[in-house]
Formats: sequence, structure tokens, C-alpha cells
Amino acid sequence: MMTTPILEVENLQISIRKKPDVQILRGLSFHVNAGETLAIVGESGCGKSMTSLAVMGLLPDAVERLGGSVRFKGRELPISDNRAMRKVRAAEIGMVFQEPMAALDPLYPVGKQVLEVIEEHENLPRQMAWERVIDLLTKVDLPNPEILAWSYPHKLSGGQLQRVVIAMALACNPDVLMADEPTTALDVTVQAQIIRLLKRLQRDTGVAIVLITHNLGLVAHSADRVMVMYAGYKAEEAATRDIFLSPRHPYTRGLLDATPNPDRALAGGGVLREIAGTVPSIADPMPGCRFAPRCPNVIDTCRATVPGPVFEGTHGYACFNPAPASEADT
Amino acid sequence: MTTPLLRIDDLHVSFRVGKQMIHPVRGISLELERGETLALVGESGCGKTTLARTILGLQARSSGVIEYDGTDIAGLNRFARKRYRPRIQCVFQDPFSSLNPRKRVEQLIREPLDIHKIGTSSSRLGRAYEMMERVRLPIEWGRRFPHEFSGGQRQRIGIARALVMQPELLICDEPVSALDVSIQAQIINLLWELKRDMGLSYLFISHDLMLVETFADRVAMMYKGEIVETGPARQVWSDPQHEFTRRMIDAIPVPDVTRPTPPAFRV
Repeated sequence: MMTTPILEVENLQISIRKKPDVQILRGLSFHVNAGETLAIVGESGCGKSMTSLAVMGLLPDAVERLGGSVRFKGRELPISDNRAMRKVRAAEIGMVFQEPMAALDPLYPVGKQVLEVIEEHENLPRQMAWERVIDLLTKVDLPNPEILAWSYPHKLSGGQLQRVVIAMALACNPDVLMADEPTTALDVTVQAQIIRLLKRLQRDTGVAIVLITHNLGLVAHSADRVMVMYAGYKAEEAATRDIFLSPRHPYTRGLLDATPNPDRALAGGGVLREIAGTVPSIADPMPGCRFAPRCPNVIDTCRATVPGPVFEGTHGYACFNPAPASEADT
Repeated sequence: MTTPLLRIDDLHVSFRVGKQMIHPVRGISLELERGETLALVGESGCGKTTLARTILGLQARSSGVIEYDGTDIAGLNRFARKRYRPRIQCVFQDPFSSLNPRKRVEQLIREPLDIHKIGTSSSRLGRAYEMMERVRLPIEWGRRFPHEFSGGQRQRIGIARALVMQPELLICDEPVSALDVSIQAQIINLLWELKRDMGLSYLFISHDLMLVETFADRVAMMYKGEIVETGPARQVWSDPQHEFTRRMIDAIPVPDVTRPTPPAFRV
């Protein structure tokens, strides 16, 4: 696999507009390599959706960027310029959202909506563009695409709608696909079909996928690398295998332990290992590590100083008192 | 043999949606023993919530038997039925939409006692505080309103409100599916402790077979309005018998990189 970064986010800081102390992203840096799947994992409120919106230049009016940059193929993206970003969206970076019904217009046949994406970006004769729509709907495994293209969204199941949205996202052959909880609203069997579809399309087109999810099972079986976020910063980043077999940040370890796992029976005292407490409010002016109040490994330094990232090879974590590396970490 | 706490026999439920007749529960039979946790697992639209609503008396049955502690409760009139309501309580998926935003938490928790006129006003408040302690909500939060609480805390309020009636059976309809995994673990552990300390029985409705496998005694798999498989949780997970169960398990990604990728994910 190539390891050229195609998307680089550097020191991205996002806060509530006119309230620079209320920070949603606290200096986030990460990169996505061409053709890989990067999973962004974390609980609600950790900033993972805000990260994808920032990359797409879709930040809501209520927030503003205080600093940082997003680079695509080495070129700075004008993420604060909505007009300029229209050329980037779909053509260079595609996006799939959690609720396919909300991403589609109920008043237009689904095929027309895929067509709209193609016509926005490419100057193709209508006939050729329509052939491309049918081809895309076929590629995402929708049955009878010529007929289905004329169906309205309410006639389709949740899984079918998500396939249409994927077809729209990939209509102009982007290099990166941002998928924000693409299967959360779906049943597990449908979820598996959608993930398998994404992986197959990745194999065929080489698109890099940023999979934003809270489902660690999905991560284990579909991502190459993982970034764990907590309260607006990057807690840990490593190859998928290292995250699961040798998590260093206590939060990562806590998440893994709290996740039901039939292979690991828990002896006594409850059935799942919980992380005490809740995620701090973004308005909480905490001086040190934002995980400190919930952390089992907390030491005095943690409460006073914000931990910076420490890297051991490609395995990075932001913690003063990490869990020991396990033998399996390479 | 002792009477099971809940016995359902050949239950059918159908109702009209617009001009269409739908039939979400198609001949379900199941038994729940005292002190047991029975998980009812199925995909969306399989009829599991309709089944729960029918047991609670929120939905009329079309035919069949719902026997609670030996009495067919679905056949009772409203007044006779009322005696059974405190004994079966429910916890819903979205605790926010089930809590009146204009009431303080202490009022919300004591409300079932008010409705059933159990005890005096001050004893009801005392019971409400007792329940808050049980679900580990600080009692000084009793004067707050639901919007001041996080999802996990709201679910604790919902549980306290269900438990204040001292039920024997708690029907939990997807109680943790809206919660983050660390909070999910807190609520599951709480339910597990409450069951142990208060001798409760659970009918736990979920779409998450991997979750219920960790704490349910038995699992009933529901598919298109029917129970297609029942068995001890561990056994259903490790040795599924029905085609539907197998298909579901094949699609569940276990969070373990040393396991082979499930067949449904392989490209």
C-alpha cells in the first residue's frame, strides 16, 4: 500500500463563534494516506463529526475556525469559502452521512439526484451523464437500476438509500470518501452489506475512506489505521492491530473494555467494564488532560498540563501515564 | 412445575395502518421464569416493540394468551387490569421523550405512586429519593429538570421511575441503544445489580445480539413476527440453529482483531 498522505489536517482549532474558550476541536492533527481506511473513533461530543464537516467546508454558522489547516494533495483547502469548496466536494472528497433519508430530497427521483452531482462538476451531455448514473447505481448493487433511478426516496429501504448516497458520493471519482456513521441507522445484516460495498469500491477505485464510527467491531474488521478522539483532541493513533492489541491511552483501553465482547467473559462485579463519569462539557475550562477526571491512571501532572502527543514509530498517544505496551505491539 | 412469571401462548396482534392491515406479531409463544433475563432480539420492524406494547396493555391482542403469574391479563377489564400495572414496568429507548420536560426529577420519579395513590405525599417523595440512590443519581439533583441531564443520567431517571412501583417484571425496550458505549456499560451494569438486589425479572428487547449475549440468561430470536429460535444466550451465540440467527451472527463484527473477519464483511 502507498503511504502518501492525501489529506492532512494540521492543528485544527474550532470553537463556538465569538467564544474562543469554548473549543470543539483543540488543535487536531491527522492525515489520511491514499487508498487506506482511517477510522475515527470516539463517543458523542468528541468532535468526530465536526472534524468531517470542517474537512468538507460545511462548518455550521455557530462555530468558527480559530486556526489550523486542511490540505488535500499538498494544497490548502479553502474550507471557510463555501463557493470554492463546491468544486472540492464530491469531485475530490465525497461524503456519506448517517441518515440517508436526510441526505436526499424527497421530491426528486433518486437517479435525478445522482445526475445533479455529475452535472454540477462535469460538462457532459445529458445522455452520457444519465448512463453514468445507471452505471453508478449498478456498481452499488441496486437491483433494476433503470427502474429504480425513477423511484422517490420514500420507496426505498434504508440500506438502498444509503447505496444511493454512496453512488452520489462516488459519482465524480473522489480520492477521499468521508463516511460519518454510515451504518448506524441500519440493521446489522444491512450494515455488513454496506461496509462490504465500501471495501469493494475502495479496492476497485483506490478511494481512501475516513470511517467515522463508534462501533469498534466495524473498526476491527474494516480499518487500516485508527484515530481515537476524546473531547476534541486526538487521544491515540495507530495501526488497527496495535490499537486493539496494545492500546496505550487509558481512554482507548476503557472503550475496548466497555465494548461487549463474547470472547471475553468478565469475572464478578457487573457484566461490562464501565468508564466512570461522563465526557466533560466543552465549556469546562479544565487546565490539564480532559480525560483526567475519568482516568484510572491519573497522576498530578495530568490535572495541570495538557498532554502533547508522544510517538513511538507510527503509534501516537497523548498521555503522561500510558498503559504499558504489550508484547504484540510492533 | 411452578407457574412462570409470564407465559405467552400463540399471541397474534394485527392492526390497521392507513388502509392496510398489518400483522406484526404472528403466533408467538414464550415463557419467562422468575428472576430470569430473557432477551428478545430481532431487526427493526420484526415486531419486538409491538410485542412489548401488547404485554404492557398498550396495544390490544388479536388472539392468544398473555398470562402473568397465572392470570390472563389481556382478558381483564380496565379496572381489574390496573392491579397488575405496578407489577410490570417498562424502560424505553429514548428517556428524553418519555420524561415530561416541565416536571422536576423528583416529581417524575414519584409520579407513578401519585397516579396509583400509593402511600402519603411525603412517603412518596421519600420513595423517590430512595430510588434515586438506587440508580446512583445524587439526591440533590431531585429539583432539576430532565434537560439538565445527559442521556445516561436520563436513562437512570427512567429506570428509577419504573422501579418506584416495586415491579417484578421490567420490560426494557432498547434501553441502551441511544447511548455511548461507556455509558451503555454503566446502564447495563446498573440493571444487572438492580436485578440481583431486588429480585427482578427482565424482558430485554434489543437488536444487539452481542450485547445481550454478555448478560441475558436466555435469548429469543424474533424474525418477521415469529420467534424462530430460543435458547441459553451462550448457546444461541456459539451454536445458532436457525438460518436467520446464523445470518445475523455472520454479520456481527466482534471487536477483536485476532478473530477472522466475519464472512459478511469479506470482499
